[in-house]
Amino acid sequence: MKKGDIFIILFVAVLSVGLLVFYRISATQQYHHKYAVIMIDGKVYKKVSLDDVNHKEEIPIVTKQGKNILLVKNGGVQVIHAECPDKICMKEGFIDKPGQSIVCLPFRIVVEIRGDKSVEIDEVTY
Amino acid sequence: MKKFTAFFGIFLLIFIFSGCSNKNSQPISDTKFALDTYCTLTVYDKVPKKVLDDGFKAIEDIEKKMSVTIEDSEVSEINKNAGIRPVKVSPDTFYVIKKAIHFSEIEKGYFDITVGPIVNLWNIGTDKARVPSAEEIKAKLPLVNYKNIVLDEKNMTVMLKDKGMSIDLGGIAKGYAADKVAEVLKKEGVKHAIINLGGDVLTIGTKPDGTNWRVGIQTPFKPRGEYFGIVEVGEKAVVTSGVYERYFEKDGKLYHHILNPFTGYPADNHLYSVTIITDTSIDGDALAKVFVMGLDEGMRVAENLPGVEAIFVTDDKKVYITSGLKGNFRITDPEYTLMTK
Amino acid sequence: MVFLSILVSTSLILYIIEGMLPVPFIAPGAKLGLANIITVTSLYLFGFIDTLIVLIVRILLATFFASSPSTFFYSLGGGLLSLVVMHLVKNIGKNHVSEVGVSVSGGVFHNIGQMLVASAIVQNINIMIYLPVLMIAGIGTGIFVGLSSKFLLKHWNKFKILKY
Repeated sequence: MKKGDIFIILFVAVLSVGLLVFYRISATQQYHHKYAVIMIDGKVYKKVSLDDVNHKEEIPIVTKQGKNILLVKNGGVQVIHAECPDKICMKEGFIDKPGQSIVCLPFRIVVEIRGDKSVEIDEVTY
Repeated sequence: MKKFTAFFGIFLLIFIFSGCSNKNSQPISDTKFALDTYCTLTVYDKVPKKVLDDGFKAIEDIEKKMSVTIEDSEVSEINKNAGIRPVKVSPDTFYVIKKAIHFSEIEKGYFDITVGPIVNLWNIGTDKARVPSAEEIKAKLPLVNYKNIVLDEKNMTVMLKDKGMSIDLGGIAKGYAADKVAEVLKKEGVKHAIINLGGDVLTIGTKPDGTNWRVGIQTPFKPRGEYFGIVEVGEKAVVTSGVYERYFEKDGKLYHHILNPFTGYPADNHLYSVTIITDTSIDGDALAKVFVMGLDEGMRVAENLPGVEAIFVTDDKKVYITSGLKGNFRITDPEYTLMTK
Repeated sequence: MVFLSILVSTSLILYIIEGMLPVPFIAPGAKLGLANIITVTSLYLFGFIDTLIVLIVRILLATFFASSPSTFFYSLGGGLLSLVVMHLVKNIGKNHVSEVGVSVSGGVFHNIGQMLVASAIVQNINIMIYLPVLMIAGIGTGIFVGLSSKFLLKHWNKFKILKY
């Protein structure tokens, strides 16, 4: 290995660790409201609130190519059924922090968790 | 390399500190169970906690007078003496019943507090809920008529003309209680507050920063707190009647708690909910029952009343709003569509 | 030309073998990148243009043999960006950078390219959150690929018997 090699490796390592730390910090910020956004082809398909940790729901995501099923539980989401060929989205597991996302490339689905730092609403009427 | 790490160090520090710099004064808040529901008072001014307690006292006072489940309440007394004699009541109860009759007229009898006998048949919202037989309903229907409430302004008495009649202030007492709480809080110097009595929202003033309150409207049949749209209001009452609040299912059919006084059955008109925005909560509470009138007629009533705005949600997730709400209401859930008509 | 074909088929085999290896899941798209050994080697032996041909042919064939069509653009984006960056690092670094440095930058930019294409496909830039993890993975695979290529190049002379 030469000097340049070490420089490149260190450069990338520092950069990615820096980015990771930055993500960690931005993910541990306090959010008043947390929700999952399901997007197909970049368009919002559905929004689900994740504020209620006791809420359990299975959401079918139907695309032109096939269907995936998203499970909402414990204030997070997970893909539990995928008809796509690679099933990477299922391997991505359970996510519950704002900024995290699950991607299904074959079906062009992105499930993203977002948080509202500023309170979007003051009260709910029901 | 050194420069690089230094750059990142600074970068991180900025982020760490920006995270804790947003200080905001914490509002004080408390929740109690009263009027058959959870009541939450949130005050954004610096006031002693005693102010909240005074607010809750006002609610309990009204509950004692107007609850049908409390044996010796004024309303129970009126019901017990139906067809027998007039009952002397407090100015509060008298005012609420008078208001109720007023709104029954506006809503052409679709809102009617004498629906008590029918409510007792269904028992929706309790564990005794059941579908009554058509005969049972038919037998009780003649007892439902707000015109048979006799008010005596001079002696402050209320009498129900026929034996077996009963009134249920469930559809209006909550609204009045919220107004009362607002009165109490304002007297104690509160300038910014939210009163939430089981989903009926009444605001005092504006937000501490002078902007409007943003009130979310409950998404039907979703966990409580999830909303499909946001309405921006100043000092207003925002009251919702929704089928999802209290209901039971039998043989695949959904029976909810908003009864049609003319049929004796839950209103069946493809509406999910109606939200009313008014100056006082009692008006909002009573007007939310335009739900029973259905979309077209209910909308007409809401449009024609000054200072009243409304949001109607149908069971195919379409949202209709009165003309005065344009620009103050937006939908946040893409499953719902705002209709213009 | 014959040798280029050998390179293509070798990289294709590596690619398919890799598809059979169970890889611990780190992030979407993270894998060993065995086929990159050939790309790096080829870059040192035949230069940019020929390697570009090897790469594109390999990806095209791999799409037919091993993977679903949706991963085609994905691989292409990663592969092209990685190749361009490796070419640049190799030329700028000259004597200061060895195969390892070249292949690490290639590995990292392969992942960056893939993420770019992926976020273009799903039209969501926020999935870039996986980038740091993929970059670290890229360092690891890059070192492995670099050392393998170095080894391969060292024994290059033995191949000379083939007389291409």
